[in-house]
Amino acid sequence: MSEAEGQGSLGFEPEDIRAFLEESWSHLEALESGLLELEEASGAPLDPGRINEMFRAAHSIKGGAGLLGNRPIGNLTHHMENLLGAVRAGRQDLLEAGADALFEGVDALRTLLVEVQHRLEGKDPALLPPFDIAPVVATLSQLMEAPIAEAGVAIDLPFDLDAQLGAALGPAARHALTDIEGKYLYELDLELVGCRRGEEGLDHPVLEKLTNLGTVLAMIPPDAGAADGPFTFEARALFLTSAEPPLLQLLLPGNEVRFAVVPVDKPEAEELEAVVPAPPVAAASPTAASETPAEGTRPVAAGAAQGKGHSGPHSVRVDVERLDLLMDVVGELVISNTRLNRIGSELGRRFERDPLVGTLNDAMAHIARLVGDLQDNVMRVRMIPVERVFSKFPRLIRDLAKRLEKEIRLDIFGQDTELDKTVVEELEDPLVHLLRNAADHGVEVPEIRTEQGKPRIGTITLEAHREGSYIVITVADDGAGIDPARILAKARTLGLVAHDSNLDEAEILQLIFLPGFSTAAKVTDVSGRGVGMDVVSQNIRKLKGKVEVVSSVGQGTKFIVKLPLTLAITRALLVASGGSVFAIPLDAVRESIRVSPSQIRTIQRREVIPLRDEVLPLLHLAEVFRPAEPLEPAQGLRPVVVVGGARKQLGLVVDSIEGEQDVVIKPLGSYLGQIAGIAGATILGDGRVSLILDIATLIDEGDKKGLELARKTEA
Amino acid sequence: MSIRLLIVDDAPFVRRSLSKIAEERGWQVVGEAGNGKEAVDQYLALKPDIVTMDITMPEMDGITAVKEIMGRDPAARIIMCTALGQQDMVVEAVRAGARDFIVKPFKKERVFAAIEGVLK
Repeated sequence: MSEAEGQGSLGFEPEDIRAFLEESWSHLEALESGLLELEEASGAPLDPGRINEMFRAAHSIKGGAGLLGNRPIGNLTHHMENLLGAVRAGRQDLLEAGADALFEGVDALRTLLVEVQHRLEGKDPALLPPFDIAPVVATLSQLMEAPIAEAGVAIDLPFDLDAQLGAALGPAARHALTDIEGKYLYELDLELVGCRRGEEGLDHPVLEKLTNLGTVLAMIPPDAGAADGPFTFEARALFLTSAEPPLLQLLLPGNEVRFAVVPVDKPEAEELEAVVPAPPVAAASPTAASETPAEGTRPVAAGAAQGKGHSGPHSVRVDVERLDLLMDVVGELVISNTRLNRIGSELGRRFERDPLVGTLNDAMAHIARLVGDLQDNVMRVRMIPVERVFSKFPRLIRDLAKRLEKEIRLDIFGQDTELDKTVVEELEDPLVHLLRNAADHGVEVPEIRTEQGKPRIGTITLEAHREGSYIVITVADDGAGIDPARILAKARTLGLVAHDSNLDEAEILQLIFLPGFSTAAKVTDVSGRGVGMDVVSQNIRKLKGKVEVVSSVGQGTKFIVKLPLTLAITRALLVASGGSVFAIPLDAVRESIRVSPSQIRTIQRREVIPLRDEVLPLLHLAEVFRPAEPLEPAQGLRPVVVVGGARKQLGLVVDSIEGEQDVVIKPLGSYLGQIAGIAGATILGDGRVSLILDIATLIDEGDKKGLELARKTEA
Repeated sequence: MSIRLLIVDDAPFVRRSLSKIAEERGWQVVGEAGNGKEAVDQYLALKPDIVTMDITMPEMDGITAVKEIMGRDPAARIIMCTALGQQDMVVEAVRAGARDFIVKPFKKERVFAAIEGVLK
């Protein structure tokens, strides 16, 4: 570990190290997703942008590690960067041979970063399993020494190049030349004085400049012979960049670099010369270049040149705490605005004729609109694409398939779909669970699939899309499916379902989400389903979402997760019961009705009412949360709020209905902990505190109660 | 008189390492900014001899900041700090008026050369 002790050498604060970690994690992700993408596209010409992005990710981590003095990370990323650099220069064969080594490198890097994190958090890194990067580094460097394989397919270029330089182009460089819109191709004559050989190859300011202004596609000679001290490196190179000649003139020392634009045989070429007359001498002064207008200097249509990187110059990184704070303030603003509106309408009632009241109401309507806009926009700021978690899954499936000796393809759709940051983060675990389940128990081994006339390769489809104020995420496989008969049999044995229960197939499948269904060790192989599904269901429910499963035997299984866009603000129906006000999220409310005591029947000791063709079970809110107080005998018509989804509904008996309102959901304090049936609390416009009901749990609780009673009756 | 420097970068440890390099040469770091907006404000308040400007930053990116500063002081001397893979952005920043660029992680000789070259 002593190698890594240098963390404090430059006097870095914990926050610096934290920043390094944060950056490194996102680079690590870029590396990993790039590797997967390249592996998927096996054989096809590599996307040079992608390679470049990966190269840059390794390079950036290396840079940070260098500043922090972390040798193992620096060493590892140096070798990864070397390999990727060679791939970028055209050694496609290296990527094919080295994918596994690079994956191992990514894993090793992750371990090393965790170590840094541990040390930062003051934990003893000795507690982590011992880890040696030497084998990984050895594999990576061995690859570099392997002989060069046959070059990739030659790509014909639509213009002529210097024969020697053209011959020196690797496949990736050739590929880069097929799309040079908005760029200039230069032939360079280099005479670099004071060139050195660093551990990363040739080291000279001009070479560094070139690699940071564009891409050196070919260089003859590619390297200089062994030399100890500084030497003069003479070479010719082909250079692709978006910089026009005057800029190049400004940035590169004329005594060391001479350049000529390679005419590119395209219609755009004429325009190119027309826009940039480039008199080599006149353009040399810096001010001349700085006055060149940004528009118009681009030779060809704009937009082509911008890289496809994750964080362009137009993105912003904001501390999540600041966002949360902002959201809190907006929440308070929404509440105050509601309160103000109440006062306004009360004033309107009292001083009907005063014109000032009209003006006040106009102003308030305007403020309400603005507050609404503000709320929408703040909410939007908190949204991030689900890609953030989805991008981790191809690796998961790849590894699972390898371990299970199956062939599985993961298709991902809608990764741009956006969700509240908190939701996206909490989503990873349940989705990992569902995917693992699909790979492990859904998709069959290739032999069985072939036998059944299915394609050898199983497909798991992960898809996200927006439906109104919800996001729907589905995980589907084309595997064996779930047999409802077996599920029902197990559920009966476990006593989770009454023996005379009359469930349809769809309802039976949902039983796999019941707690207790999966905990018994013996049922884990029930049609290969049920392992930990209750945990998935709980996690999703915590996010105010729900999960359902549909399946058909032999065809496959599909899990459907439905989540609200945001957790923070919701529209609710306020009801009063037993002297308290409760808020029911409006999306759970089906309708509200009035019920007379004479309509109430008792079936299996549960109160129900007939509602259209169905039987609606009733639940007295006062009874749920204040069971000690005796219920007042019902008199006259009582309001009942019908809540629930399409399949299961419940009638909540309340004292009165107070109306609709936007509520800001605040979690119950730790001193209250988790209360079943309560999702959180909110402060109402008039300052009262109201509990927000968790309808899904209430429906389940009601079921359980019904079940208990039913069992008692049976016994 | 010693050279007055404004360092702009959103990563504190990059600012710190640049400060150390500057101090070694006896230059005076008169200000630091963590985003483009702060950079513009500080530039106008401090009128430094040289600005080192990161490209990717929150609030306002370095290229926009270069444009804003150049719009108010066409004589401003700005050096971009780039990481590998930002080729096109470097080119755009130079078009907008930046005089040169240095590459992260910084080698101090290159930083000296760039700053002294621009001040010549």
